[in-house]
Amino acid sequence: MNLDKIQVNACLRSGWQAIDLGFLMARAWYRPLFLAGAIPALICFVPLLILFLEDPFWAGFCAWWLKPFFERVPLYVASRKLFEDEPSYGDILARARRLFTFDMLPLLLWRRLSVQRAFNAPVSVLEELKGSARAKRLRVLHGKYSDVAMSNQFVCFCFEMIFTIGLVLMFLFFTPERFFIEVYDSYDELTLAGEWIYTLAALIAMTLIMPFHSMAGFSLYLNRRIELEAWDIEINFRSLANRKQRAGGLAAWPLALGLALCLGLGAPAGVDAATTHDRESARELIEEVLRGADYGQQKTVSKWRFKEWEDEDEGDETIPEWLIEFIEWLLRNGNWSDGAGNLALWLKFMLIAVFVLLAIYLLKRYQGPLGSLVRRERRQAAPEVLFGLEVTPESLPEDVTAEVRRLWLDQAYREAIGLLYRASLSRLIDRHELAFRDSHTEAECAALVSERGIESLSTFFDELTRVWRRLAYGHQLPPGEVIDDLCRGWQRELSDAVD
Amino acid sequence: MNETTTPGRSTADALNALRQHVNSRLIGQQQVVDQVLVALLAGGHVLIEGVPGLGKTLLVQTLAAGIGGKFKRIQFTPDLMPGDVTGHVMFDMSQSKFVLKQGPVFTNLLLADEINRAPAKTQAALLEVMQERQVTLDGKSMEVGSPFMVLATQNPIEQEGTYALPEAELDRFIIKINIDYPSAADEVAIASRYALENFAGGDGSSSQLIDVDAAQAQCAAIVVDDKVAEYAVELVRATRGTTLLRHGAGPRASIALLRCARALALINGVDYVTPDDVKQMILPVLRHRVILAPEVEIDGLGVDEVLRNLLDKVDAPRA
Repeated sequence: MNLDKIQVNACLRSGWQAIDLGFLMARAWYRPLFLAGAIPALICFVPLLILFLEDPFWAGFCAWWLKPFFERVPLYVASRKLFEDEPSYGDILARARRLFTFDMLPLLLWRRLSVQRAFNAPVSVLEELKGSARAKRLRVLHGKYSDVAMSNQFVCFCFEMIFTIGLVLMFLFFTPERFFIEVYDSYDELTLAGEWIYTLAALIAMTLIMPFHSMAGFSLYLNRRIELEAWDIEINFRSLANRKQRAGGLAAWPLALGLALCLGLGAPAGVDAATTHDRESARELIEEVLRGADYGQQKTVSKWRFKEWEDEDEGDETIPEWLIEFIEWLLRNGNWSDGAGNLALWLKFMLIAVFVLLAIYLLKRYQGPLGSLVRRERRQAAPEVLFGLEVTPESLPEDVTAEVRRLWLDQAYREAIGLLYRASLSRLIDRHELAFRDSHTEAECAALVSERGIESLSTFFDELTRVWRRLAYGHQLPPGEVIDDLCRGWQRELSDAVD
Repeated sequence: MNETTTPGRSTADALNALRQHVNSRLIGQQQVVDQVLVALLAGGHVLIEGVPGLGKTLLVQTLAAGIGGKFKRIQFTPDLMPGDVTGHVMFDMSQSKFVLKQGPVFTNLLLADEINRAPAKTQAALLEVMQERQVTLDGKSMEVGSPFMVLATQNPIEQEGTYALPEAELDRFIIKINIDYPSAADEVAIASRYALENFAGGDGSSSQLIDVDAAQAQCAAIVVDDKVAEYAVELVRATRGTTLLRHGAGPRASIALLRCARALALINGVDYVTPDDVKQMILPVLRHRVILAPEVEIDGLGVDEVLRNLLDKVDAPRA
């Protein structure tokens, strides 16, 4: 393993960044990795499919169970490519026996359902550890990223499922209708053709996703080793030493290492090469620094701050002192034996109380303006012209009934009844806030009035509507006494005196 | 609202008696009965859409008895020929001459059951009779009965193996009635009554309750104000300028609407048409004359909903 030749930037990454790097490696080297996994897989699939010709599900299941077996060659290829070493087919074949046999039995038995398989695989395949040595190594590695390794397994499983379903659907969509294949029988169980399609699709999906799964686990493993063995620092030291050598300076590799060590312990970055110390003096210097006043002391500092707020904002946006004191008082005096749940409950009640008080205050404060706003809106919604008739109160004569009687006596019968009808509509809109629409017929308007439940008003308006319709559409004049009755009814039900 | 204008009081009373007579037999379908009476007075034909077993035959039988007319029924099937509807000429061996066999259209009320099950040429033969009210057999034109009304039915749920009526032929029906299940209370009444009595069994009153020809003549005399006529035309025209409908209704719809409004006014016992009469008849008159836009159909809207929407956009007149 020559760290100088490492093909990735050896720096510390989070678990998810390491997965990203693994996927990137899989994409970059997809062809060799795919072939390295697919060829042994194919060699295995074909006899299995022939063996389980009538029950391809079991062929698929066996192939799936042997999946860790197929993942080893891509991992080996990747480990070689990582250090700029292109393995030949001969190399792979020479290594194949070892790859396929080393610690294989436990892997295919009790470790088969491990959810961190890709993360653990390099320990067996590359470090060739087994038994207690392997377990010890894994304990160290699993100090971090084991949850990410599980997620990697789950994500890749989901991708496999999506690919499988996608491939099945694609096959069915592209199958001409005359060759239509029944995937499910009448009992909603897979037919033999359906089993074949699903099995083949699952096998294809498995080999397509395999490089990504292996590389993500491998990348996590690398990341953990970079962290544990400080590969990044070592690589920096080496490059520093190389630069010095190329510059023709006297500083040799061990000196550079010492310098870097000092740098790592916090020495000023701009330190000159002439001030470098040998190993012994460096150690003394370090120990002296460690004995200083800044070291060896323990101090606990606590303060309140909003989560995930930038430090520079803290000065302006600190939590008010009274709130802190209040919460601290609650914590001191409340019965908090049940923990945070009680605190949350208290806060909830307090917030509800604050909202209720605020709502009461706002309602009281704005009761007048809000009420007038609603009234004004209603008034605004009232139409000025309805059914082509002007229905505003201002458009009516001062004394409606007098005007109606005058028109009637002048033999302007239609105008007389029309005025009474228009005046009634106007009053119904203005006083009873009835929402007539232009599309309403006379009977519909009368029905709306009737819905108000004022019997005398409804009776009057029904009679008026009947007389109006008879005159307007039947061209029949009502007797004079009917007009008198209607005028009296109008005065009784709708005139200003009724207010 | 009680309208008291009663120039045709006797006709209105007779119509009311007929309505009560039919309603007493056909329980829970008052609106259907009213609309059929409207079509009868307007001299039109009715297309009824509804699932089987809702009493369509009983309706026609009872109505025929009430008007003192004849009733015949044709069950439309895919192998029904035009001659089976109109009649044909056949050679009578005993008399050694051709004799004319009149088809079932020679009646007053004809129930054309499941009209969309017959092929287009048979449908066309009936529709021609509906329009012309006469049949030409062996070169001779013969008038069908008077009054003459066809009540054609369609089943909305079984469309397999049917021949949908073309729009031009649908236009011949003055109204389309959607007949629905009766209410629970009405259904109890139907079950109690007809569990003991045969549907076909009459109640003994087969006397003529109304002179339909006279009532139709009186219907034609009902006054229609210009504003009301304009309103009817506006309503029909509103179906043409909307994106909700692929095809609107034609001028024949305006004529049908006013004829139906007149008939409704007569049934209501008044001698003039109001905008309410027009509005009340707009759905039965227009629902089979318009075609929904595909996107509206995809949205799951029905013809009636769209028409109601359009109705709300047309201003009602105030003469």
